[in-house]
Amino acid sequence: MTAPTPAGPTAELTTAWQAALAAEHQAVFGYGLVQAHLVTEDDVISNEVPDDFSGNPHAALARACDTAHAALVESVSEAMLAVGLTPRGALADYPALYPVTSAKDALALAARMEDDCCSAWRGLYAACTPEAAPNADLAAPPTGLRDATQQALTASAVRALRWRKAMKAPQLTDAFPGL
Amino acid sequence: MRRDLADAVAQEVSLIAIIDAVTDASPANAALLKQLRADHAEHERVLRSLIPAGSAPLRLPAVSMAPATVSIVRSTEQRASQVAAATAGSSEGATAVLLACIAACEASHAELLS
Repeated sequence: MTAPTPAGPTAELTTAWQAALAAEHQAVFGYGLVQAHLVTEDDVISNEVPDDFSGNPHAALARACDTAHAALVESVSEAMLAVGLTPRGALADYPALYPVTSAKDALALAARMEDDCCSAWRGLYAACTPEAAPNADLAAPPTGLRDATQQALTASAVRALRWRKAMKAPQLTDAFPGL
Repeated sequence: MRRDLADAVAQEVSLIAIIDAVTDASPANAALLKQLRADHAEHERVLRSLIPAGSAPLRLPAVSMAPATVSIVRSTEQRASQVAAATAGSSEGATAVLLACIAACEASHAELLS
């Protein structure tokens, strides 16, 4: 008798996982736009260390966020490959992110992208919970996915707050990030 | 009643009490703390709505108010975020998702106070 082949991720889990990856790809693209409007010519000329925007906290925050999302794209893609899924790639363009014509627009876009990521990660968290996959024949979510999803949701919620603070938004907090 | 819900409600009640104490002692931070309090009140309301009708009344722990400082609120928010995330990880369905979002919110509160 041969051992049963372990079931792969459910269709719901796969869709939610791909959506989270898509949101991260969008954030990486979007932070390129954000940085283009936050990094000034003075930053480029005056910094001895390239990409060190210590005199421009908004540009430094954008760079840090960009790096964090790029790392997530990589780790999520690796995790999906490990369970036999094909991670989606980045799109050539993200028209929904435009227009961005000023630093003010850039700050607002950054906050919106982080909110989008929160929503996507919350969707994946829901797909990871047992009630979301009540059929006992279906495989459990890959080990560690739920914890990693919580971390990504929390990280985006914190980044969203940082951007709302940068925007001097009247409402800084969100009672239920991603909902 | 499910233990995870009861504990989560108690956590929110405790946070609200601490924030109220700090707001009284530190009016300069009142506007900021008001936002945090509103979030916790919303957390409590939604968590209570998930408790099945007819459940035994909640037994809430006594809250120690001293010393009430913004720093105490920050560390309490950070701890609450970790507890909510851990509880979410061992919960199911809508309760798990709600607690995961509350954990994210409370981490952002700690960030705001840092």
